[in-house]
Amino acid sequence: MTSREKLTEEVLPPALVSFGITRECDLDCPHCYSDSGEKDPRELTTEEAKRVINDIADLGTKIIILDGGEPTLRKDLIELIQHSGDNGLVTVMGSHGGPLTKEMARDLKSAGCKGVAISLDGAVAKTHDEWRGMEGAWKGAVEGARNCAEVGLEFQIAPLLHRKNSGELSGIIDYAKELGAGAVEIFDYVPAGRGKGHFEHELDTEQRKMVIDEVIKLQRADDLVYRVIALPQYWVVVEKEVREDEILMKFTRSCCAAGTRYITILPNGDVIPCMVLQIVVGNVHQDSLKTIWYESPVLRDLRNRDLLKGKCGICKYKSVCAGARCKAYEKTGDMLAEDPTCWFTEDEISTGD
Amino acid sequence: MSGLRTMKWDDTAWSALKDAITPMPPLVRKKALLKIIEASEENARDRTSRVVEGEDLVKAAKEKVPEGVQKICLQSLAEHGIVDES
Repeated sequence: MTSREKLTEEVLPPALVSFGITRECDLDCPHCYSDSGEKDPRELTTEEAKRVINDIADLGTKIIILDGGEPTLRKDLIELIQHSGDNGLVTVMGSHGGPLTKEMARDLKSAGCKGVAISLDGAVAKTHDEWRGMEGAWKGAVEGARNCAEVGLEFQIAPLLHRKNSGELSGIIDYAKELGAGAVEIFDYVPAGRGKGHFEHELDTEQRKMVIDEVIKLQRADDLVYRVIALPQYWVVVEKEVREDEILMKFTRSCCAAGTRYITILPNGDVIPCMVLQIVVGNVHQDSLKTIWYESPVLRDLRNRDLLKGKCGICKYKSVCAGARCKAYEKTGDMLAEDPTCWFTEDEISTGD
Repeated sequence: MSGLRTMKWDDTAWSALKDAITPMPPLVRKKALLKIIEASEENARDRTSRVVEGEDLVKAAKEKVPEGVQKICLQSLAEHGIVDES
């Protein structure tokens, strides 16, 4: 029995839940996965949000990411962080960095926030600000990171790579190191949310290969934690090119975990397998998260790697890669279709069965 | 065979360990990995086995992996069908 067959039999709780606590945001990013801007009228109240946090803890999840929108715009953020901690959850959050004054960073840390992911999409202000739709956004992100470092709140830098900024990755990483980041989490652009249909922003194959080569080189050279999101072929290249000992000691795997180890709750209560795989599988206003997690047919199908189609279906790396389900869905409308951005030939990945 | 091992490992057990360990942050992982390999091999020797099996790994994960990441580690092993039967 393969590991994935086992997985479909015995469903384990998600290791990680992303909880979008508000849709409100002061930036206007063209790719925004949650199409943030104005506050959603269906946004959960404090008590409803606390109930969802209880549900997440009851499910057996270990880590909760409070996300948005910009979560710092929610007035009860500190209360929600404390509530998460009280329920035994390791609480981290995402932010564009601008609102992270020293006082805010200190408050977050005191409330029990264990880390913040700060988006930084350019090595220079112009690139970041143009993409994020606000002059001064880059400066805000950098100052936010500095403030976190100053009060001892751990943070990671999270660049989103698209067609026009991938050449700045090494500059962004240099900056992350200089600022004192503990990790760099690199996102490959996915045309979902506000970016839906905008395939023109996607990296091309050569850019993706270059990004992967660069991350492997960097991971070999230093102790910063590098994670690559929505580009699961990263791990295929790692397994092909890096010695096993080196992988075990240094490299961090982050395959497509949508619906298998990870789930996202949107500010209006909708539940989707991943922030970029936007198929609504339930709503926490109507059902408990536990019911959604264990009974959703969509999630059940995502857990069964034997259902993958095309190249992904015959790929010997499908247990560690599985293709980016989000990209398959956005391109074809079928979340189980082969990853349309995968460049490996059948000969390179076939099991030969 | 990986230079980290001093004994033969069952393939499924070794794959399970790789899957369990690689999503962990490297700083936590290095210590956990070395401890878990050493303890798994010791458990196998205690059974007078020359091959490290899943049961040795689960026992090591329960005894030697730091509490913060133990649950994730055991969950990952369970995905390979390696479960705690004690």
